[in-house]
Amino acid sequence: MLELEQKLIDYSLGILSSKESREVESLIAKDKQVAKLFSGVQDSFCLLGNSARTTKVSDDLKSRVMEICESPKKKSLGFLDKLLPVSPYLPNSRYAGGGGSVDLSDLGNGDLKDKINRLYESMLVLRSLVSGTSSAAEGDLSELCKSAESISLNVPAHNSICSNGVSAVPHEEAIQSFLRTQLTSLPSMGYFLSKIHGKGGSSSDVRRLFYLCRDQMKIMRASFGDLDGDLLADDEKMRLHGAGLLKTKWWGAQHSYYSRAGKVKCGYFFEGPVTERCVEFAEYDSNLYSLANLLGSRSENGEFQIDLDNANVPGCVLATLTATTSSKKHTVLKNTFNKKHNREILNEDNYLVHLVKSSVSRAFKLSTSCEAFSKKYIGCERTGNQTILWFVWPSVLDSQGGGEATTSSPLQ
Amino acid sequence: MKLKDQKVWERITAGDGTVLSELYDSIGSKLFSLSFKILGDRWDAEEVVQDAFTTLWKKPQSFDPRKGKLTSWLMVLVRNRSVDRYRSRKRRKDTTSIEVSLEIQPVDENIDVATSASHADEKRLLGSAIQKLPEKQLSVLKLSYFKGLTHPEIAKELGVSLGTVKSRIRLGVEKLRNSLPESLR
Repeated sequence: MLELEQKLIDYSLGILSSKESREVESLIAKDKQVAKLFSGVQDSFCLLGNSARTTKVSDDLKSRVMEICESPKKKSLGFLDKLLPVSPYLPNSRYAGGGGSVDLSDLGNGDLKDKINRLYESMLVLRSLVSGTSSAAEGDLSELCKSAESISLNVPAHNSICSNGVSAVPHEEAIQSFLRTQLTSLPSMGYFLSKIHGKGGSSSDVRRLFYLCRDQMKIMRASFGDLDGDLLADDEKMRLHGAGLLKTKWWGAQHSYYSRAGKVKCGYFFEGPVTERCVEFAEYDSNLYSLANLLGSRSENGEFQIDLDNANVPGCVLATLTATTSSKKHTVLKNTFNKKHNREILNEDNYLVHLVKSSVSRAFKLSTSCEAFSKKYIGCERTGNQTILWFVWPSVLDSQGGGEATTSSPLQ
Repeated sequence: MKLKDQKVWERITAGDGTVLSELYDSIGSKLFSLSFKILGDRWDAEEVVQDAFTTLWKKPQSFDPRKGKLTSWLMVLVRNRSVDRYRSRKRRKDTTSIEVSLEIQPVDENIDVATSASHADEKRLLGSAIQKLPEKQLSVLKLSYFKGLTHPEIAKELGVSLGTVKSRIRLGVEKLRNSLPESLR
């Protein structure tokens, strides 16, 4: 009996092997007395758990939990299904990010290198101010407020990229790396920093800043290999990132690209891994932010929806972003995607499309970035009054259910 | 399983979203507090709680009503996932170690008065039960439950045998349960 109770305790603590766990589960299922004993053990642990000091929960956690009930099912893509690649080229060795990374010296002799270093340093400061252990996370925004203005000085103003000397950088990849760090997650961060500096921020804004800051730093490290070598080494390790991580980050978030902030809705997110390394996750994130920036700023109410599915394109994950737009704004956006050489036209929207085209062509080893659009690995279409942007990414093979480096508890 | 728990679970299985709200109101704070105690990080703890409710909502069949109470299952689920995350972060050397205390703290003043009264009573009783545990059992429980150390790790840390660790956990769990009134079991 003692041995049985010990086993049930160990099972509840999650320290049995898979084989032992299955044996215990079988015992519990077959024998009512064992089930009763197990119930008692769980109750005891529940009591222990209840002894934890009561900590105030954020007001918006409940609304995020309740949104679970509203999770939409997989939606039919309608006409889009006919446009998507039917048999995309899948290279033998799967692309796991890291491509396009350059050194800071590749930016040349201008002050762009200093800009990157200053920006990263300000992100290090911001990270400590918005982490889950910070006073801002507890609701005290005073420290964050003091620093918000100086940090936001590193956020570029709208349409300022073209005039800061980036076109003089000789290397194409260095230009892309620089643009990635300026145009993807940074603009939205600027919005929240301004909000907090203007004393209009809340703890949900702090939470959003935390995720944006974390993403921004990963994108920067993936873009410039010598910016923070130690952390980059960790980013390059194999570590699956599930669609759930993206959902957690984007669910109920607000997003802004030099415009009013709009709510992000999460539609259908498949269960499974999306990327294999943090450097790949950073590149994937960068693509999502680029499309979010293009679409969100044109959405009629600032809102847009993200869906992730791995069943539409063979061997791939399809990310779609959908928003209600005017036909005029859609046309402008479509023309941007249609341009053959986005790189040559000094315009931020063009750069954003170019970043995604280049990334996707890298992932599928396409000859040119234009192929990513012509072969519909990335696209922009309209249905009714809605614009849909999408990009395709090679699926992780031999997936085991996704999630980031957690062991499965016996109670799942 | 208590009737109330069973009805809650049946309604969740039937897709009744209103019951999720009721369940969150009754236990959300406790789940968060437990996760926060283990992880020491608010955003991580929120993610764990959010994931736990997502699991319950999307896969209600992962809970078996024959095996115990829904609320106990949720607490253990949150604890295990928090420990998983804590160990994952430690492996990545991403965090400093978190000092865990089992002392019962005063109830947070920001909790509303009505809730705090019943919570305060519960906390006092729990606190008293925990303080009555022998120190040796308490320290092993702390290392196992809140820090997620395996039995061999605890044995090494305390310089005792594996068998001693197991029996102290078992005895501690039993004593804790038996020292509480029926209403809190």
